[in-house]
Amino acid sequence: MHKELCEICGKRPAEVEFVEIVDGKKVVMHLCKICANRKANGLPLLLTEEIEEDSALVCPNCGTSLSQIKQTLQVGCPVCYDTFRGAIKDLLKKLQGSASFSAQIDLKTSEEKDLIVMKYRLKKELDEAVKNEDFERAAKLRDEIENIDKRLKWLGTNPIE
Amino acid sequence: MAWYEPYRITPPWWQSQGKIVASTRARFTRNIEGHRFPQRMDEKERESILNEIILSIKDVVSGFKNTVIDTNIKRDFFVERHVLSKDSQKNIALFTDHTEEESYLINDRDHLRFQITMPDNALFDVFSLARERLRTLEKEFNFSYSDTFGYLTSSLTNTGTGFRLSALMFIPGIFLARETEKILALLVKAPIVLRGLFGGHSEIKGNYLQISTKFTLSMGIEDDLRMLDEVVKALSETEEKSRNILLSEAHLELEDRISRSLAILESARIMSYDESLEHLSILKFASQLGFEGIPDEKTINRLIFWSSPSHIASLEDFELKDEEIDIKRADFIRKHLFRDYED
Repeated sequence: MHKELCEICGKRPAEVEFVEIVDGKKVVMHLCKICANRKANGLPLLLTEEIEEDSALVCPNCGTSLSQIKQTLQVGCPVCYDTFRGAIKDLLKKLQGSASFSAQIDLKTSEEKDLIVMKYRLKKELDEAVKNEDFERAAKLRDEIENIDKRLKWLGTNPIE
Repeated sequence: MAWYEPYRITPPWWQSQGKIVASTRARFTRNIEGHRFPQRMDEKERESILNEIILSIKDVVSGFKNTVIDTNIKRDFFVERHVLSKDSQKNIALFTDHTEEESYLINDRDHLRFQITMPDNALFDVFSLARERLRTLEKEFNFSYSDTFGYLTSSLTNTGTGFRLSALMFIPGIFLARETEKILALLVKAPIVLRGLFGGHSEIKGNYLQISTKFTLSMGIEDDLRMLDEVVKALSETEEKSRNILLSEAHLELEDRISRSLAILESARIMSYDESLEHLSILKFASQLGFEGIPDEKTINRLIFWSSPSHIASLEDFELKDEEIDIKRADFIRKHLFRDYED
């Protein structure tokens, strides 16, 4: 039987039925796994030559090749991130619009952050209460927000947004 | 006892989904420092990571249901329960609490992935609880981290915060009022990913749309929360509007659609999963709109859940062929459509 080829690269066999909504219409494409995965993540077509070139570059810790990373968008171990730092930054830039972790994102959990989230939530509830003319509840929520502001001030965070 | 016996219930969060925001979920992915990721580990390393994690989370998961997902049958079954994605690996240890709102996966693509799911729009609650759990875990583990990339994960789409927040939206109004194109055009501009009912690359079916946060490198988790909250709110408002338009301008067409779906569900002898989703979701919509002669919404939610292929098979035999499952499904729906049943 004639084996169908991928509609994007035209080289590898089509294995995936890729469904997309274009201008409100359903479009079905038959793609190879590599092109389907990259298309789903908004990445450009991967050339067969590039795949061959990258398969020689291998992570010393886990044996994953750069070619495998580019095809699957998966790495094998933490050392891959160092081994292929430049290539991974390129991929991340395309995938996530940013090549490295933003310095201002502090992942440490803290009381301060919890309070800020809590305040945001209470403000939404307050809007809701005012909309429903539930003034008793609104007054209570205002008090709670004020308490959070006091606590934030004490912790040294400016309570304004 | 068969492995699926503890899972004979419909998860409560699925049964009591919200009207438009069916459910919400927060998920963290983490790896243990100094180890390769599961796909690159040998059996010995997998075993040792598994033991290390189980030992450290034993207080968190005490009394949880647990199973090892070592076959495709089990994998499909748990994809249908929304705790795994379709591209999951084999030999994953899964722990879930009895409500299946909280679950822990060990040795899937990453060493540890845990998620909190709740019905209705509970973005703040799933976010807060997931953070609380993360705080507990942070005391037990040194997670793989780099200053350049943040938390290191096997998939480059999770690198950074390793965090995803998502909402499962039930938006038949938008689909039926043909507002889809407009909505999709707006949604693609937001930093979100659109998916079908079962995540991954699953197709959009049954009028469900899953929206989840997209950027794990440039957005903090608090930003994710605020952004998704806004998107969910905007989408809900559009859905409300579309429903009102349908009710006032296309009432007869809507009634026709509902009656047809009901007739098919009541009479069909062979029914595919896609077809059952199509018609059951129309009935769910009718039930929400208060149409008469329609089963109550929770019953329909349960039917949607049990109509999935592995769940239908689990009621009888996992060896059933697809054609046999389609027959069994039609029978099951006919039998339970108006006669509420206990799990």
